[in-house]
Amino acid sequence: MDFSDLDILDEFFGTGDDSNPLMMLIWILPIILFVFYGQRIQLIITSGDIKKKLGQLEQFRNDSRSALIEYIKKDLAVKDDITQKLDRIFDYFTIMPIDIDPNGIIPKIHRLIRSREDTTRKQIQLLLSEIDTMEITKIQNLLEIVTYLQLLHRIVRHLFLTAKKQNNYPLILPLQMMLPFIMEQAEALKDAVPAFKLGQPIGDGIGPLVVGEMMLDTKKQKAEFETVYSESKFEGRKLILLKAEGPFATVGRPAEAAEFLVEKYKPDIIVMIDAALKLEGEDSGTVSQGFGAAIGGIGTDRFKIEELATKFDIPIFSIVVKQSVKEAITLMKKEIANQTENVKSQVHEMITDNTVNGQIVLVIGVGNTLGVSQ
Amino acid sequence: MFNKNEIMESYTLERCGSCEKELKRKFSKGDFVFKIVSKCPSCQGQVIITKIFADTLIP
Repeated sequence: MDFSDLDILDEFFGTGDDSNPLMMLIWILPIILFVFYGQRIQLIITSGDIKKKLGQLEQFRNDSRSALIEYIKKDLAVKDDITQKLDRIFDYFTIMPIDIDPNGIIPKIHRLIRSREDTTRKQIQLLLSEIDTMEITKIQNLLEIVTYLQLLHRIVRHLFLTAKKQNNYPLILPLQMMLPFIMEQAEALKDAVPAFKLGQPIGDGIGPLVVGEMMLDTKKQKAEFETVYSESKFEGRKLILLKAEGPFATVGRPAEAAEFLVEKYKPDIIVMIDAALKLEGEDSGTVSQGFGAAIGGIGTDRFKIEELATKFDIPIFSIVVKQSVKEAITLMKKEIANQTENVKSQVHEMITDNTVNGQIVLVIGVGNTLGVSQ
Repeated sequence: MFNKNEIMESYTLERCGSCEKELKRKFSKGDFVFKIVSKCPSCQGQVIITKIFADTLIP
């Protein structure tokens, strides 16, 4: 038998003839499928990825919660079962003031934040009697970490379940885009737990580290709650050095302290040292100089310092040390710690360049001073 | 960013205020920067902790 003339492909699929109905079905079916069910297919694929990340978020939240409870039970030797009370604190929410009329909103936010901080501190003191300030501040920070991770998990879960419930693919797109950034923050928070438990300096503490070193061998005085200042001299200028009180896990109250010191000393310039988020491609530990108040947070401290500078016509200079979100809240990296001397010499240069003999300079080390004394 | 393959370890750097001799050791609980640690074995000067940082683990 001669098989040379038998072209199975041609016979079956009609490759030589465009009108073969089977061939048409093979091409048209997927097109119809994707036209009508394309979004649902994409939703199923995306959902799988988001579900995995959601599981990771829940794990981060559970791990940090367990780490905090274990720390209180083992390290602080608390025998009472405080799990239920802690779970209630993790659930605390803050209702931001109405912003339809934004005039005067900053003092409202400032008061709200302070009230939340004060209440949480009192709750910790009530829960764990006989613990020192160091432990109170550490637990306060650890509570913030668990609360924030819980909030992230809840928001992501809400957006994901809403999109699934509505079978709405476009609704899941913003979540898919934002999720890598959310996960970066969540991972950083999860990794921050050991440093807070051990009381180690974090990347954000570079400002207090520089100012703390300048404050050595000077008389430290209380400027505000958990905030200290001291007087020093440098090349004929009077320096007023301000930072949060270390080695506690606190940022202090820099705005209120600055208000008090500006009223008292009437400084000619303000120099602020802080950690700043680096842009992708920038090296960790890069030091930059600039103008304006270098201070993070919700914005109320920056607002107060800016108001102060405007009222008394004081120029503000800033020095920042660049780092990632993770580096800012985990144990300080060598590259960042090694910049201390460089930043100090830049502060001195900034002072000599912008002031003359006999003038007064307010130097503020902004950031969490955990593990950094003065 | 941290390299995922790198193993980070926490170190404490102590320095004598007089002879400026430095000692790098592993972090131990209770350490904090500017803590007065001890007297310098060589010059009897005051030794303080100057840095606590994360570095890649030295094998």
